Parts: sequence; C-alpha cells; structure tokens
Amino acid sequence: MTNSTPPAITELKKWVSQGACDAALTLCRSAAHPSDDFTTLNRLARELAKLPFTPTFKIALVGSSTLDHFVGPLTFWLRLHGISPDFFLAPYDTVEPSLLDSKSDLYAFQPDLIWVFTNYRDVRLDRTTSESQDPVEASLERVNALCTAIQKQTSAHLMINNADIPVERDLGNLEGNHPYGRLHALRRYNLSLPEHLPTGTVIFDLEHHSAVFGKARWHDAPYWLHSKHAFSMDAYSSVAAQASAIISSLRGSACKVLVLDLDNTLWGGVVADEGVAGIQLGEGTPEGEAFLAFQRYIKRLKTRGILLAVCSKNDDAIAREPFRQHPEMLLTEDDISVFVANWENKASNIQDIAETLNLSLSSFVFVDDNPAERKLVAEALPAVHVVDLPEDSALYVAALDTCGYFETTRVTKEDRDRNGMYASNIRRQEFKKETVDLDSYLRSLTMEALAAPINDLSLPRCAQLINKSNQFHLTTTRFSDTELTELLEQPDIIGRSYRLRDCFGDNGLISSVILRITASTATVQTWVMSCRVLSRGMEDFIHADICACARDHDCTTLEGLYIPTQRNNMVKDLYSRLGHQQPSNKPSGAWVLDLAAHTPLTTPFINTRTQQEWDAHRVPTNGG
Amino acid sequence: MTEARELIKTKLENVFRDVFDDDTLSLTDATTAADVEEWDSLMHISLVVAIEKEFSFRLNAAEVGKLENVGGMLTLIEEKTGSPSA
Repeated sequence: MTNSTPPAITELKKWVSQGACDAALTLCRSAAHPSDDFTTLNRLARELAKLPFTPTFKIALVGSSTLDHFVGPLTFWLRLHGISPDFFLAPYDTVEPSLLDSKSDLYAFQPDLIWVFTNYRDVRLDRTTSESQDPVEASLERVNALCTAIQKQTSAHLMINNADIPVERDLGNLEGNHPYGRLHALRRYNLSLPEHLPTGTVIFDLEHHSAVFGKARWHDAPYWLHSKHAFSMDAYSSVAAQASAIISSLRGSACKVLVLDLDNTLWGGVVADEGVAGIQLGEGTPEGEAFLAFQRYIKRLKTRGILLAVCSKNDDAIAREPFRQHPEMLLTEDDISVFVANWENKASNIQDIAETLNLSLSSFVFVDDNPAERKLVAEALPAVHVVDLPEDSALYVAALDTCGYFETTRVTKEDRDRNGMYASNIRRQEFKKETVDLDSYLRSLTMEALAAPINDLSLPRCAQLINKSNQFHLTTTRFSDTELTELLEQPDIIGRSYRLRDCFGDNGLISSVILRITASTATVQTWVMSCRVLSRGMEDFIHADICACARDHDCTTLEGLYIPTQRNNMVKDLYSRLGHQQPSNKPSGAWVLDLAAHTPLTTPFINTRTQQEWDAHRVPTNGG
Repeated sequence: MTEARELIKTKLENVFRDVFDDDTLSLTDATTAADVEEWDSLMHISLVVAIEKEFSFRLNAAEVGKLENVGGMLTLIEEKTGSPSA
C-alpha cells in the first residue's frame, strides 16, 4: 500500500547500521537518480547522513530564498562524488550583508566555495541609476560589483546562478522577441553574464536546469509564497547532482577518458557475425541513426579534449573493419587514442589502457551495452565510472550526458589539442619500441623546450595543470585562478611554465613550478608535470631552470618539498635523484640542495629555446 | 471516526513516520507540533511536500499555515480528496 519501505532503503539501513561506508555509497549510486522527487531522494539522503564523515570541503550557501532543504540533497550527491562537505548557510535573504562585510560569519567560516544562490527575482530590472540606463546593464553591473567584492575578500571558489527565466508572459509571444519584454531582458542578462563576471567565477546554469526539469513544474508559486522556496523542491535532486559534478570538477577530479565497447555500443549488431555491411549505423533506419547520434556526441567530447579508447572483445582486425570500411562511421581510428580488441577480460584491458595513457583509473568512464561487462569492470575496478547504459540505443546520449562525468569549468587550447597529443605520444611509444636504446630514441625525438614566467596567457593552463594533476605533483597544492593570480603578485614568488615539442608534435604547456624565495633559500612550493612527458629528460631541464632562477635571486640553497599522497608515489625519489639531500634537522619531505656545490644537470637531448626562437620556429602540430 | 477518515489517518501516520524517521510515531487528532520533537517550521515544509505527494493535491499558503494539528490535517485532506464523510 502507501508506505512499504522501498527495498533500497532497507538495504541502505543495513549497510549504515554496519558502518559499511563503501557499500552504502555504491548502493546509493545505483539507487539514487537526479530525477528523484524531494521525498524519495530525502529518504536516501537521510539514511546516508547517519554515516559520519570528516568534512574536507567547506561550502557557504547564500541566497535570497530558503535553502535549508537543499543542504541534504546537496550533501548526498557530493558524497557520491567523493566530496565530504561542511555547510555555512547564510541567514535568509542576507546576500549583500553577508558578502560585503569582511567580518561576517560567512568569511569567518573560511569557505572553499561560495555559492551565491540567486534566482530570476534577483535580477532587478526595475532598478536603474538613471532613466537612460539599460536595466539589464544595471543588473549586470551590480552582480559584477558583488562578485568583484567577494574576490577581494577571499580566494575561495565562487559560483553564482544565472536567471531561471519564468514562464508567464504579459506580452504573450512577443515577450521573448521585443526588447520591452521581461523574458527578452532576462535572456539578454543570461547571455551577457559570462563576460560581466570576474575571471574564475563559475556560472551555475539554473536556466538550463529549469528548462530540463520543465519550467511549468519548476516555477512553483505556492512554495515561493508560503516558504520562500525559489523553485520546486522536487528539482533539488537534479540541481544538487549537477552542482556536485561541477564542484567535483573544480576540485580537480573530472574524468578525462571515455572507454568504449564496439558491438551494440558504437553500432548495432555484432560485426564478427554480421559483417561490416550488416551492422546498423547511419541515416535511413531508426537504429542506425541512434548509433550515429551517439557517435556524434562522442566525437564532440573528443573535440573538446576527452580521450577516447576502445575496449572490445573481438579480433583486432575485425574490430577495425567498420572504422576502415563503413561509409557512415563517424569516429575514425585517429580519434581513438588507444585501441584494444582482444579476448582478455575488460578490467585488465582497461588497466593496460590506463598505463598506456599514464592516467589514473578514477578519470576513466566506461560505456558498454553488456550489463555483465559493466558489472565485472565496476567490481574489479571500483575507481572507474561505469555508465548505466539503457537498453534502447536512442537513450545512450542522454545516459552519458546526464551523468556529468565530463563536467569542466573551462576549455583550454590544450584540452582541444589533447587527443592529438596523446596520439602523438602513442606513436612516440611505438617508435620507442623500434629504436634500440633510450639515448638514440631521445635524440631522434629532436625535442625543443621553452622555460618562461607564468603570464596572463599561460595562467589558466597552469592553474588547470596544478588542479587536475595528481601523479607528478610533489605537494598536491590546489589554487583557484584568483589564488594563483594573487600568489604570483607577491614579490617573493616566482612562477615558471614549461613547454615541449618534438618531431611528433607540440606537447603544449606541460609543467609548472612555483618558487618561494626566503632570504638565501628558494623553496619549490609547487611542481607539477604532465605524465605524458615523463622520462624524457624534462625533469632535469626543469630542475636546471629552477636552479638558475634561484641563483638569479642570490639564493645559495634550493629546497624541494615532497608531500606523499596515495597518488603521487611516482615522484617520491625525484629530489633524491636530482641530487637533493634530506637533512636530519629538517621536517621529513624537505629535500635540500647546496647550490654552490651543485653542477647544473645537462639535458643533451633537449634543445633550449628562447621565447623568440620558440615563436619564430613553429613545428607542424602533429602531422596526422 | 468514519472508515474513510481512519484510512486517511493510517496513510498520514505513515507519512509522518517516514518524514520524521520514526516507526513508532502514532497520531491522534490532538497531535500538534509540540508533541513531535523534530516538528519545526522546516520539517513542516518537508511534511507538506510529502502530504502533497501522498494524497496528490496541492495546498495553498493559507492551508499550509492552518495545518497545526493532526485533526485539522485530516479534515483538510478529507475536503481536498473529496472523501465522503458519511
């Protein structure tokens, strides 16, 4: 009847009572859905909340509406994304007082993220400073001033909502098309918001989520009237799930690799049975068009920088046939960074792919139509994100899209070029197999490197490297754009960036270093490098540059820091290898080098270029 | 109490048990916010959401304000769902 407890809740209660955190989280991942209504989601959220956790990420929520009920669903989805939040909820409708007063409780809380939870009502189109001023422009100026003021107070991440445009139209159809219409004005506000906000501000697209949820349900007048809820509480799960994916991306844990099955995933049917001509793909049939649409979506992911890999139970030659022969095949072999078709189990194949790409399994998303393969991978490799693909191929795009694994807060040039870089890298590795010894391999690469200060142009990529890398990251420091900008403005801080290119193509900006000068000691506070360029002498090249920078600042000692994490084991011996010593009177993790007694490392296979030389001589970017 | 009202009361009791996460909670017409420890203004809204879902109707602002005791709630639900009060 009405209230039999759902089986998922019964099972969750069991895991919670046993304190089995991993089992509870795994269950919640499969039981909860962004489209769950408030009551349904809240049941799961309340049970999971009984499992204690230590908060590691502080979020200040400030808005002009009631947000108390939103904390539960948001905490729930954040925990499913591996984030343990602590919340500060600013008192109702205290946006400006909380954010403009440096002594407010909000700042005393020292948030890692401030989410200014505005809604369309906060875009005060009725307020202008003069008759001639455009009300949209006036609103944009107000929100810019607010965000700029917040960034002066704190270097926390800052997220703000755009306007969830309401549905009523006193001008009818003209409402959206006439400059006088409120709908037209709010659309203009949303379109102009990105360019009016200070760099680093994340816009949470409330307008998009209201549209996806259904605006007629989203806008809930009774709830605004009786308890000042900005929109339907039944949308909280969906908003919280999307926000959690974005926050996860801000924290540097976005996914980078999409691993794809082939038969019945990229095309309909089994190519080994039906032949290239027999598979369903392309215009003309509903099934063929569905798979084509899925390939089109994947191609767009690839274009924006997501790496593609194939993992198929097939003979390699047969698996490649559709790529080579099928006229409607949209994805090409060049789009695929690693192509694995064999009869091994998929979990070990995915591990091999991770090793080939030198990326952590937690940045992997796996798509397979076969539930048994999904289960095997999910159980053997719990770090991999497995998409729960529906049976109907028409729904594949929606399934992959709504999971939010590839959320990002920016797209850099390196993102768009990444696939080419990895493809070149795999050619480099194949090349390495052919060449006899390491020296002749490295020589044949004809590498050129550039060391330069971090400037406005390179800062976003440096911030991205620092925030996304886990393995070659000596101290795992994380900085928002604002924090990094502020840090680099300090006189005792030196920021360095490094680029590398070779005969296979441009690797882009692959490393960044932050040095702090204290009297005669230079301390390497941050050193991060892309794992793609490991073991090619770049470590030595960068170290020589660090030493030169330290000497330029009259330092006699160089201090390198290593803070071990679960992920950065690969660099634990780096400083030792570079000639640093670990003195007994220093805390462990501090590696010291006497610059006077140190002979700079030479890098015979890397040609050092000046900025001018670098700009003048462009190598063709990876020639296909 | 009529059979219809009894049925509504059973359903409502289950809603309360679910919202307040207390399987032993039982209701009488006289039960008010003062009798249920966690029944504050925030939980009141969670209760409203759950009641609207369970009985498939919407409450207006005045009705939300009037739901101060269980007897009042039962009467309101009877009116809203058109249950015969025979």
